[in-house]
Amino acid sequence: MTRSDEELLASAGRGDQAAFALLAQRHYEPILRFVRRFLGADLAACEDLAQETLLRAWRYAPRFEPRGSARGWLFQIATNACLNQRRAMRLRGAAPLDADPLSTADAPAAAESHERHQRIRSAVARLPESQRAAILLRHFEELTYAQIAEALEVSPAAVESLLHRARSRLRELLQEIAENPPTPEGLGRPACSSG
Amino acid sequence: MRCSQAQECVSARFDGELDSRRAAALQRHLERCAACRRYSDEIAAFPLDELEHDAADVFARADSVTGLSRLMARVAQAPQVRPAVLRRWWGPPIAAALGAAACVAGFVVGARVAAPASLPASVETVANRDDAIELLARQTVDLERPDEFLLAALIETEG
Repeated sequence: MTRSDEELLASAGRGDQAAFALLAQRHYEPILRFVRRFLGADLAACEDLAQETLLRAWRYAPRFEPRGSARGWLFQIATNACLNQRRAMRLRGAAPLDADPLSTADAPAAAESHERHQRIRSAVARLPESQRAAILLRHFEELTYAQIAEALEVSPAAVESLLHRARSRLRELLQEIAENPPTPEGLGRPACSSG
Repeated sequence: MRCSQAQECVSARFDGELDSRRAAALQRHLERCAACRRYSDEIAAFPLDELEHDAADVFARADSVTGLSRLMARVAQAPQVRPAVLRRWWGPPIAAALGAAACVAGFVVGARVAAPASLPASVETVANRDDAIELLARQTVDLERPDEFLLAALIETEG
């Protein structure tokens, strides 16, 4: 019988490393995807952050409350790790990690669809942080509103509002980008606001 | 329903998170609002889906096996925090009980401070009327703090 994420996390909270390994196996790639889409950083940096996220989950597993969703809790740690990373970069005055490395370094160099994907990624990268997190968690990781609420530490009603605003803003951004295609160095530069 | 509310509902319906009552209200609004119908169509045709197709390319170089084995090596060395003493749902009842206990303790301590804990050493307590009369005769009682037997004896004496 397959054990649920919550059962595995509860066992991990009692020090069961095998249960945690199974949980990590299920969630390592989704967390890595989310971190990479959120930050747009290079793969090695995102792998480090995904591992930090899961290591923190292991350390704090004894404090997980079983009535919550394990997935929401894990993405809450991942979201906070991403936000801390961005804050640290800003404080150091370093260039943002998310200068869209996905678009040029990794994606296959190809034609029209590639350009289109670049435009969409660029629009997502320009969303305010909480809207970006909400849209990535909903659209790519398929979290429910309740799980997103847990991940972002807001109410489900706030999630509904965040997603609506994110979609409205994306619509505008995609129109802007279509009318004024960005220069390669301007691609993917995210908005710094957190609303 | 206003257009702003309707558009929020369109987004929630797209995610399958709209309850039937609001879905019906949205439907009524869409039947008479062209702008919100257009918004609904645009949300349905949202291009984010396209990014999912290249996810395989984007993450092709991620080495999950190595990443996980590195993680588990660190897990083996990492101590866990202790469980929270007060779970969130135990907290309020326990806090209420502690508060009530503190009130009772405060009341008891307050009453003891307001009244002397015991009679001064020079004052003897009396257990019955005869003792009270005897004490009165010896004039060792504190007349400011007569107990009921002493009071009765005083009345009798005065009487």
